[in-house]
Amino acid sequence: MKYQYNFKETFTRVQTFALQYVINRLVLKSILLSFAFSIIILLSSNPQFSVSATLLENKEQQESSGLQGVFKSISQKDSEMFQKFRANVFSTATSKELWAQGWGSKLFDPGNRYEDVNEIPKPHGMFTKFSSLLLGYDLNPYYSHRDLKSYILRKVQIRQAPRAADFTVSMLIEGNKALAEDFIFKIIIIADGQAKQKALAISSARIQSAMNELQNPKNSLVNNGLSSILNSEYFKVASLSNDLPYYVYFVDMPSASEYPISPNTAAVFLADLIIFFIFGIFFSYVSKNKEELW
Amino acid sequence: MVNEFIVFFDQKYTIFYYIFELANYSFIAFIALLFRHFQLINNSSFWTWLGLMFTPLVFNYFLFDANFFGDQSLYTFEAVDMQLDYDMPNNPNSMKEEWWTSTTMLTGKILSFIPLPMLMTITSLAFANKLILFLFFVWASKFMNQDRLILFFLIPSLVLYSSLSLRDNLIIVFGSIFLINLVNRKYLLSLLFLAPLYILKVQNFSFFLVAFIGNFIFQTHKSALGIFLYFTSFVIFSFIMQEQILEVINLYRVAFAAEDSIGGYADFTYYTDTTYLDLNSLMDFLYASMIALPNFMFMPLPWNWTSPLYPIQFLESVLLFFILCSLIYKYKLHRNLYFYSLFISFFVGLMVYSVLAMNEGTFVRYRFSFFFPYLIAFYYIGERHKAEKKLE
Repeated sequence: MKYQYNFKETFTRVQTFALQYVINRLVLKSILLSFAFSIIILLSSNPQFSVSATLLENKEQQESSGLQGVFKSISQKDSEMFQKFRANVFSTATSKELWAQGWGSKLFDPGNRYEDVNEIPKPHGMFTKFSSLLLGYDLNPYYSHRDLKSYILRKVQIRQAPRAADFTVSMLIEGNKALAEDFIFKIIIIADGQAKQKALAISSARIQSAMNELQNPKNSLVNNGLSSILNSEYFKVASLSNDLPYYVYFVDMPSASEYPISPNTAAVFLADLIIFFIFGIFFSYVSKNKEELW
Repeated sequence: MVNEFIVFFDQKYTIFYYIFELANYSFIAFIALLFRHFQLINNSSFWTWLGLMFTPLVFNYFLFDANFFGDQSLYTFEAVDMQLDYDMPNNPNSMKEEWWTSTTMLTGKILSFIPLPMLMTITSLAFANKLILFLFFVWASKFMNQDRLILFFLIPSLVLYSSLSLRDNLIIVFGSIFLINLVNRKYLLSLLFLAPLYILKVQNFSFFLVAFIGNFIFQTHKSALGIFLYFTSFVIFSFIMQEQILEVINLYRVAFAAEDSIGGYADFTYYTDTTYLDLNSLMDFLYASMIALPNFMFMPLPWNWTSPLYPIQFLESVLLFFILCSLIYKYKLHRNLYFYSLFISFFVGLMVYSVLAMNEGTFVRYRFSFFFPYLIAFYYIGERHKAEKKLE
């Protein structure tokens, strides 16, 4: 097949194509239909707002003290603080603490109908009930911290791009934006606190065992090593024993987007317009060129 | 229309995902209709392409989760970033002004250059890939029979990689255009398509460069003496540069072995003595590559199958090898001078890849993006020779 560029002929052919297949009643009807379809889709959807906080890893607090600590901090992967924080956001300990602070009522009983957070009835689907009947296990009649944990797993996203120092903790929300902002803030603070508690427990245990070992005299090399560990762990305890976040800094406090991020009304109208418009052209083209196309 | 919140919400599993991507499908299908109307493609190609263009909707979030090919999001975020006037949160572009130096940014830049109506989800760039592949098909059909050429575009790996927001499709298209132009002795044009491969896939770039030197400097398509001189120079050069060549190969061997290990690069190099991977001489390399070549050609072999995708990929590798052999046999390519410089670079590439292959999934991808351009080029050499003979 050889191409010969004849602009005049090409223009005439484009004009003929437009007149025959684009400017006709069917395409016009398709365009009108696209508006109706878009309105139906938008009316049946719920606006979703994004609530997100931007955080920075607290790299100054990499576990280091003395020469040994410096070497340790160099050998540590950059994202270790981030990984520890992330693991704690999705941990049972964090969801238990949030549950104890009454977040179960706020999320699963927005009408505040039940006084006790542990007595909010939990609905179960037909299939779940049937399954429990068949297999003979009991279903929990009330919401618990486990439901809060699965809620966090489903809704909360933590994203850090490759090479990035900052990361975001975000969630999508359909209703109360202020509540979601507060929820994200609490998750961050509690997850950081939980991670601190675990680190403190480990440091305390290490201090205890190093002290015990130092009671029994050993050669100077071992004693020096144990003293160095003690110094390092005491330094860590001092860094952890305060109310400030240890693993992360807040760059941006949790805030909700002004407009819903989904659905994007303009995008829905445009996408539907394109689909219906081109479908109209296709339909008129195929119906007028049945013989040629097969 | 660009989804500026794509980092937080990429519309997956919602009706909007299908609406936005159907709009992209409609757009490229409309281009196919225009090409059919202006008789640049025939009926069978038109209907086949309407089907092929739909496949991006079949893979991501339908047959598998988009995270199965996780690098799709990197290219999409870069493309979105480039369409917006500001950097998205979580997507730092400290080297934004040097986009041509980064694989991810260059891929994002090229794919974002395609004017898709919607860049809303991870799948959107797949339609840009489809359109690029379609335009390549239309261009290639200037030189080859369309009804037979379309069969190459039905190879499962090509359908898969062109249906995802990956760079493999660009590597395949640029590689194929380079080789066809090289065979046509349009050296400047071929260099134009070779240059981006330096960033997109430096391994393929190196092997294609070997073919380019053969055709351009040694004029291997003109005489057997040219081929002899080319081959001899290549062997002498390899022995002179043995140390440097082996250094690069050994580095890549360690890198790919580390990628396949559980602890990643840091743990592998820290805990493992990597000297067992070292190739110490060119003879050592030749021996190792000859042993590993059959495995590389047909991987994933049945005893390594760990996913339902593997049997399909194995059968495809057998099919590709069969197509290659039948092209050589049918068109008697061994009697065609154009064939040799391409085949030498192709074989050298296979040998190098075979000693690097440590991970099935990665190297099946690498093999295909290297194999396909040569397959198209060999087919073109055969078809052209046949047409020339007819004219005589």
